[in-house]
Amino acid sequence: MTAGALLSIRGLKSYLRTPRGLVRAVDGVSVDLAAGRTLGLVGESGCGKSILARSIMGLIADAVLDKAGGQILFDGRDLRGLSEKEMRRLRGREIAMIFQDPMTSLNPVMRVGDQIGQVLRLHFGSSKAEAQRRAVELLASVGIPSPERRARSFPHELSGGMRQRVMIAIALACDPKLLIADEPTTALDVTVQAQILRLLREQREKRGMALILITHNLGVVAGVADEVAVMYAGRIVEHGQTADLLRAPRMPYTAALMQSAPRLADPPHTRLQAIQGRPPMLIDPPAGCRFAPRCTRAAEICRREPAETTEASGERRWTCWRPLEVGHA
Amino acid sequence: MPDQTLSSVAPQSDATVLEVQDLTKTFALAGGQRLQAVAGISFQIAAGETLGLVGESGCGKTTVGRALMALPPPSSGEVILEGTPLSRLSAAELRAIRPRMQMVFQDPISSLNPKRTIADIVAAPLVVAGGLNRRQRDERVREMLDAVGLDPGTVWDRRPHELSGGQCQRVSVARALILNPRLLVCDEPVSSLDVSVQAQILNLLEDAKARFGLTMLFIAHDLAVVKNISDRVAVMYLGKICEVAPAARLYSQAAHPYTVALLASVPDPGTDFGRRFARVIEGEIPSPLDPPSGCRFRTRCPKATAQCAVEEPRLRPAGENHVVACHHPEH
Repeated sequence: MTAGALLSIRGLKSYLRTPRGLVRAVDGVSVDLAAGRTLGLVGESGCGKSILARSIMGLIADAVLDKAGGQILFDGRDLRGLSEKEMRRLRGREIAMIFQDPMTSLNPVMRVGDQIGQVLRLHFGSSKAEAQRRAVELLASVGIPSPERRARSFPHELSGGMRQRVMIAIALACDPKLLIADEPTTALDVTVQAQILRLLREQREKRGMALILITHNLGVVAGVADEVAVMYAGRIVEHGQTADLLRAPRMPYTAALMQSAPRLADPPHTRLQAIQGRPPMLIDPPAGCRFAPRCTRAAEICRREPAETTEASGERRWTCWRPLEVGHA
Repeated sequence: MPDQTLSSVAPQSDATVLEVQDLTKTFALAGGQRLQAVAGISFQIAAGETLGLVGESGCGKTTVGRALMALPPPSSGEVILEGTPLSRLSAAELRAIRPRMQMVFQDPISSLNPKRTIADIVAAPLVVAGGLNRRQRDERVREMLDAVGLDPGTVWDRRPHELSGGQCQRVSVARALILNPRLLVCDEPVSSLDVSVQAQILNLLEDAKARFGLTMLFIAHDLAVVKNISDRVAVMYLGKICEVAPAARLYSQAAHPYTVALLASVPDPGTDFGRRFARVIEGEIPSPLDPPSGCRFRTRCPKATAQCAVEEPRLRPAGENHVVACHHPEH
């Protein structure tokens, strides 16, 4: 564990029991996050990024989750060893989470002010009046106009952007040390996305909390994250400081992901470099590097043996037998 | 009286495939309220051209696409396909002209019938159109599946849930193209796909357009996607078109403050490290039930003045092949 890390995940394996077999959704992930830092966790659907987040929060039912190995050290405690009762005390209080779709995360028949107040009463035993007063303050701090009036609104009376602000207010209510935001702007329009990203950034700076921002959008991580971890098929394949990693990706998957997305700076009708095929099924993943079947650089060894992780200076890591040279992308 | 003049939004080419004149679409809501989703828009698309229609949710772009296909028909205005005004056609005549324009929808899996095989789904338009026997239809289906990059032998008897989202979108494209349409309307065809698969489908649409001589209306919210595939781009806000320009020009010399704000909101993975979100505009799109007077963007516009509240800006020239509806354009 790195000195000073708030969160240190070591060799984490979260397998999911499904009717079709055991899905190795998170399959040996190690990553550290220091207090006050922002980690962007990037990958496509099914890469395991949300399961990783839910593993940290302890939000996967024991009936489904096979804790196949590893540790989640948060502030010195291994979260995997905590009871559900202990997790409940920690969840929302020290680690909070917001999700892609605020409509399904909010209680539809409860006023939003009461939903914020509920968290304060639960964790701090605040009085009803005190919780109500703090709820209005929190709504104001996340940029909701006329917060006294809005505190009495129901979720369906708010726009998508306002609902996500309410979710952020709930998440911030207890001043958590770590906020996990799982695709928080994916359902929002681009102008509102920019507002929410700015809000997350401001609140992170003001409160000194750590932030894990999960997204499929490399532009979003570029704007907000200090460091980026790229996930593919249940594993982190590359990790580094945001600008270093995006300017000079070493793992071919990172480079391919960047080249397949159209960019505003490119002229119309620029041919996109699509990645052929699709990610592997994680019930029976490929023996070697999991990206090898789709990788244009793959050699025999890539298909045969899992790649080793190379550690470079500047906290740069990649897991690849045939990494790209610096200055490729 | 059309409030957006046709001549100002005409493309350069003389052969026009689609012409839309002062199109409106109003929905009656419970309680007697009326929601005008599209508030009088006009545009043309030249043969072989791709027009991108971009805007945020609630701007009316999807309603425009559906109104063209009469799904449901517009409340007023005219849609002219290859010289034929659609509003004057009988139901039978409309059915006869339908094969000339086809649509690809956003959700690739739910827009395909889950109970039918892929071969049946792609063949369905041929069955409706009639004229071919089973063997001829199968031959056409095989050609189309091949053209969209699917192996006919592998997917023939499969059902949509057995394919990935990207493969289902290829099936949708095959189904849309099997009747040799002139115009393809794509409504957010890649927005539910992962970025690597999105690139495959965008490349496929470009290839199909070249190979089959298509004209396209490409509706999407993603500005980078729209720029990639479009020759010209129209920006919509709250039921109106606020700017139209050639794609490269719109992105480098946007004249409407809304277009400028949209472009400034898109985060770029190559340059935006530690960005401060300085040019983020505040607020959200107002309700179409009660649109602002004058310019509809004025409630969020950094340049709004008293004039914007009383006088609705008309589309006027802002450069070659470029029009903007704004009292205080950037240039």
